[in-house]
Amino acid sequence: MTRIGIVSLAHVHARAYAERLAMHPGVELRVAEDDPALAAEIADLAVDVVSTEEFWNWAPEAVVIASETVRHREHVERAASVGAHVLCEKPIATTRADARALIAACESAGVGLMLAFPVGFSREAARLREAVSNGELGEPISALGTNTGKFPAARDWFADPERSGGGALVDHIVHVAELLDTALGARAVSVSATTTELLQPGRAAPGVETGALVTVRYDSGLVASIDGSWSEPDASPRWGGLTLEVVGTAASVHMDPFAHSVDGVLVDGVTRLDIGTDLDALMLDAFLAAVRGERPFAPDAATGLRTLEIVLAAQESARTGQPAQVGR
Amino acid sequence: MTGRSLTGVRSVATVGVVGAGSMARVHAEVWRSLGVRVAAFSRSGTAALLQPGETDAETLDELVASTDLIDVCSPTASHADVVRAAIEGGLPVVCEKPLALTSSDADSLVFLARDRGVPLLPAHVLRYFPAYDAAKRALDAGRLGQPAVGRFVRMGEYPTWASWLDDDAQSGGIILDQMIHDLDMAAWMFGPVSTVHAVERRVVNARSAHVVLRHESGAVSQATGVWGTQGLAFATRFRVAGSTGVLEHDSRRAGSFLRDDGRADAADVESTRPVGDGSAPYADQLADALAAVQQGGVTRTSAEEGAEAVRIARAAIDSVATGTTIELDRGPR
Repeated sequence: MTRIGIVSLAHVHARAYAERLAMHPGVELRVAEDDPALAAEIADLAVDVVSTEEFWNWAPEAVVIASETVRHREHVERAASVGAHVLCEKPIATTRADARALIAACESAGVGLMLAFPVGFSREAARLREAVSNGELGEPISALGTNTGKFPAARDWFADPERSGGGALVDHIVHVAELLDTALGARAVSVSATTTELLQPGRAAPGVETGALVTVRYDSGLVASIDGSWSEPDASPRWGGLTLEVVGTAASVHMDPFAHSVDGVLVDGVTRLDIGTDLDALMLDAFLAAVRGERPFAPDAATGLRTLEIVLAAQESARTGQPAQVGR
Repeated sequence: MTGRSLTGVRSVATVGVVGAGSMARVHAEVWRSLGVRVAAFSRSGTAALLQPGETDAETLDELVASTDLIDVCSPTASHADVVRAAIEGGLPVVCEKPLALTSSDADSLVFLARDRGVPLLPAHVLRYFPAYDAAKRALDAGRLGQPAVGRFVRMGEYPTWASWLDDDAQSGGIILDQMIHDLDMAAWMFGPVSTVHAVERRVVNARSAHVVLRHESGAVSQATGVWGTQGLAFATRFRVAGSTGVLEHDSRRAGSFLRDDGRADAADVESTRPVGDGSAPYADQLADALAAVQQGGVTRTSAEEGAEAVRIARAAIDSVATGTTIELDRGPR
């Protein structure tokens, strides 16, 4: 049995991770969470929730970091110090310095570091990568990504820059950025971000963006735009979505991995039943396979850092009102 | 002529269409269906446009002298001169987008029309497309709360039907020629624009630009345009979000009649596309223009808004050239 742990239930995805790992036959699962209210939220899962200190003393072999983004560094460094491989939620950290430090800690300890980007495990993402690499698209020239969602009301730290690093910009740009990073092999050069606080009035603190439109220039010449807004109303039957269109000189493709649904109206209102592939499960399987040495830890740390750099440039651009260079 | 609009009422028996390309032909068909006689002038000849019995004018001046309204459907670079000739001839004028190639030309046309008391009606037909109009009405009725984020996409094949489109000096490129539809729509839905940022990728026979606008209200919007591979199906979509609601539309999912004969080659793409209603918005737009001229009213697009669309597009073009975010400068009004 492999000792796998989840650090913290702070992230909205933590429960889904706990559910899936708990069903794994070869996994002994524990969750580190000091807040009894959060622990109570997964009481129905029959999973061991322990204190942080007890968790590290248990010496997990691999951990899923699902804490607030500002705490990623602290938790990844602790994991590395006990020799545990890491699957880290995105974005990797809130600052370049933190990202570099936690990456270095894993390298020194000789543990693997994988980033939690589940969409890359979809068939649609694989088909996109294939269409780019086999020349079907010709030369990719333009990309249009969307990753919009509801306001993360269940976890207010998402809209608190002290704990998340920012608002919608930080929450929703990286998924599309990672898909482009992996599919294109091109590097982002400059970013322009235009944000608004008009969405979700009163729910985020003043100064926290709830709508974000980001434009990225790549070194290949490709131009991309991403909508990362919290623009899905609470009453929507869906959580939001992620789509990516890539236009090439020979063909264009459009992927919508969350399109698989059954739609209708039930007694509790307009409904959407998600029938798509469980991408979290695929990602966790890949992490476990990496822990067993059967595949590399990917998406890797370098991807995590590159996608963070796009977010940091977007934040700088939002502050200055002008495009910002990536990685400066 | 008191008690009516600034520009009074006029009867329109004959329309003088300038140009003879595909847009001119679409407009001419609509005028005929509205019971208006069609005459035309085109430097490259009107044979493709006129029907037997309809008048071909030898010069623009002759057209202005012999008709009641001028409809400008010639290439963009000619718009300013043609519109000016119509206004100076005392005729109301409909002008296909963009109103002019440059912002200063567009502004001077607006000023001239106002000065002469002549209706200047920019033809931004997207405002008459039912999906966009419905979303606009919902926004105006407050059904989405505070308008906040808009997204507009327009994709089609690289235009090879008119060589001037490929020459930015004559067409303004994809931003002024194609994306201006959505830039105007963004301003119509989200209000006056304060800043413009744009990036563009251009290679041989493929071109795409992304334009992001900040509006004075604090709302933000984005338009994406693609001139892509030959045969690429023309498709548009939008998503508009406010503080209490969101609406979206995708022309690719909007078909009401589908036919599939099992063949997938390019020649049969049409047979598997949804059957749309392509001509109605053009008919509604020109019927609106006719009523405005004959009854002294207004259409959905004012002359000032037509000039504003050119201003936004030109700022986007400047942003591409300079790599900076442009603050919209309206100069003295």
